[in-house]
Amino acid sequence: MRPSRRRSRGVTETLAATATHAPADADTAFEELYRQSRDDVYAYVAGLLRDRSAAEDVTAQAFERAYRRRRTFKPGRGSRRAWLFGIARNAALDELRRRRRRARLVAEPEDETLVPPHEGAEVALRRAALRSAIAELSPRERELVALKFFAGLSNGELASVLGTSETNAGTRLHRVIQKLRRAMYSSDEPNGEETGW
Amino acid sequence: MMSMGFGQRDTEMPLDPDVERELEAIDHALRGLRVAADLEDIRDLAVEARTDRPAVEPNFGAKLDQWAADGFPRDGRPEAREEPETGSALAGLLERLRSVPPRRLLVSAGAAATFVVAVAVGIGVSDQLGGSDGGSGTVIAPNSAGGPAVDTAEGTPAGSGGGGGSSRAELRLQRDQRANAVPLGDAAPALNAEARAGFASGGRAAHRKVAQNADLVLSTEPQSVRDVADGVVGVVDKYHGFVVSSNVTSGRTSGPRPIPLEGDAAASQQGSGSFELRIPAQNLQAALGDMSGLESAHVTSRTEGTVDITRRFNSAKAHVEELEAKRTSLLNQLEGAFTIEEQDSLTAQLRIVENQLADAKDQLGNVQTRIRLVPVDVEIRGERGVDSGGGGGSWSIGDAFHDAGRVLTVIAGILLISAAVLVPLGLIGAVAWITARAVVRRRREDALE
Repeated sequence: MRPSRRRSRGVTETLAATATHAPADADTAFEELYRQSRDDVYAYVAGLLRDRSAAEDVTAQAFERAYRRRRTFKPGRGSRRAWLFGIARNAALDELRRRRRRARLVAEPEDETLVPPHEGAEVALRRAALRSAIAELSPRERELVALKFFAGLSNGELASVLGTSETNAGTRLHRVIQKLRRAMYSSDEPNGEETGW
Repeated sequence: MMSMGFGQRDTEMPLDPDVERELEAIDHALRGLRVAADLEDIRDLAVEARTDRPAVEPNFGAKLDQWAADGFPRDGRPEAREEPETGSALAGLLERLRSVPPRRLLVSAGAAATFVVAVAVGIGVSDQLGGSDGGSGTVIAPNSAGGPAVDTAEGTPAGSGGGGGSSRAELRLQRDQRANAVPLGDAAPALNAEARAGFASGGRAAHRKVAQNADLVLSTEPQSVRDVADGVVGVVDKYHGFVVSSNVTSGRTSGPRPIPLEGDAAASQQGSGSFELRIPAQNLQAALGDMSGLESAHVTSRTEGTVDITRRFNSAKAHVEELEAKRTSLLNQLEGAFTIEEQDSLTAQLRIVENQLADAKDQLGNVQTRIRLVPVDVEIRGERGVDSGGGGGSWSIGDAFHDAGRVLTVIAGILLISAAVLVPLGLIGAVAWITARAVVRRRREDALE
């Protein structure tokens, strides 16, 4: 076989531009996204569904969907994290819809180990009050708490996931925080009701 | 508030400064940064909520990590609980479809739809073009005059004088003929062969009365128009027919070539002829055969039609018989009439009946003539370059261009029809897709209510 002829002469080095959307790059980016977001996605979904096993299923499903669509991600439409949480949200809402069609799941038994015994009584009481306040929120409000505090999304990401403006998302979040503040600090005595995740 | 789709935004409005400050404090608290003293309660709230968030169980975490490391294989999902059985196959299919990028799905769906439409159109086209195979099939011969075009293949080798050129002409015009063809009678195609046999042999179909007609278009070189016209007249004489009307214009054979003109003007420059003939029905096929085989003539199209007029014939005949019976009865009454008034009255009635009888006989005669003598329209076209060898010409480069053009036209037609089907389907699909997305989004949001 004859060696191929050079088309350019005098070239001593070549510069290759980085292919940011090459498949391998998408895989690497997804791997990193998975590592960064696994616990956050689970926490958000569990906070929304309040059912551990369902949350595990939905988390797995969300990552699977995201993995299969990893090449469809468009940076211009938001961050990877917001994109992932959008997928997780759809999966979680689908699960909520399924639950509505089936018989409502019995609430999980309270997890007595959620508050470590070595923590002080004041912390325990405050945490119990917070849990109780979160449990009394509407699902839509609870979702905001889950996205902000459990998943740690920025306000921009939160707006992106909810498909609304950042101002609107901030206003809604602030409203929920006011509710929680009132619930946590308005009464000295906790109502003693605890809700496990 | 109902949320918009992913990536959509409401109009940005500035947040209240206090609200913005508190939200910023939450972000700081979550990142472990310092928070203003008056917002410590918010910091505590954020930290408590973050600390108290649901944590992944180690067992599930390990399974999920492994599944992720394996590239999320479909059969390796870490199951925390049993999936509901109902609709699992459908759910799996939907899940698979969901995982395919929409663009690829659209391309696949479009390709499949195009294929289906192309096959449907192809079948339709082949059905239109492929009717002449086999000896007993019905042949629609081309007819430039746009007249009736029902014909049978028996004994009528369409284009017998034209060979390959005639076949191409048939292909070119068949579709138009199909569209324009008006059957001369309900039973025409089925009856034709039987009726024709009946005429020839007086067999079992002889009691059926069939009116026929025929159109023949012959092409020839302009200088041969006159010869072909003479040949037509000769055939008419030979088979005891007659010419009702004729019009022949001879073509130019010498002198400077005229500037090409459009339509009839151009045709007349090259010579043409038209004949309205009557041929005895029993000689029709032979006469048409002879005319088709005239020297220098090329059959461009040949169309025959039939119509069953048995009812009309029987009706006219019965009317004549009825009037004859009435006349006989009146004559008998007249013989027995005694008074003058009675005789006058009967005579007057007899006159009326005789007039009616004459009319009825005329009608019956017309019907019989229509059956016995077949109207045949013959058109002769003088065209340069017509292959009039009579035995089928050779395939030339011009024919190749013509065929190539024909193929391209058919392809363009298929594409056009495909587009006509696919564009509305695509629009409907797009609307359905948008609606379905909106419904799903709405239902998802409703799950939070």
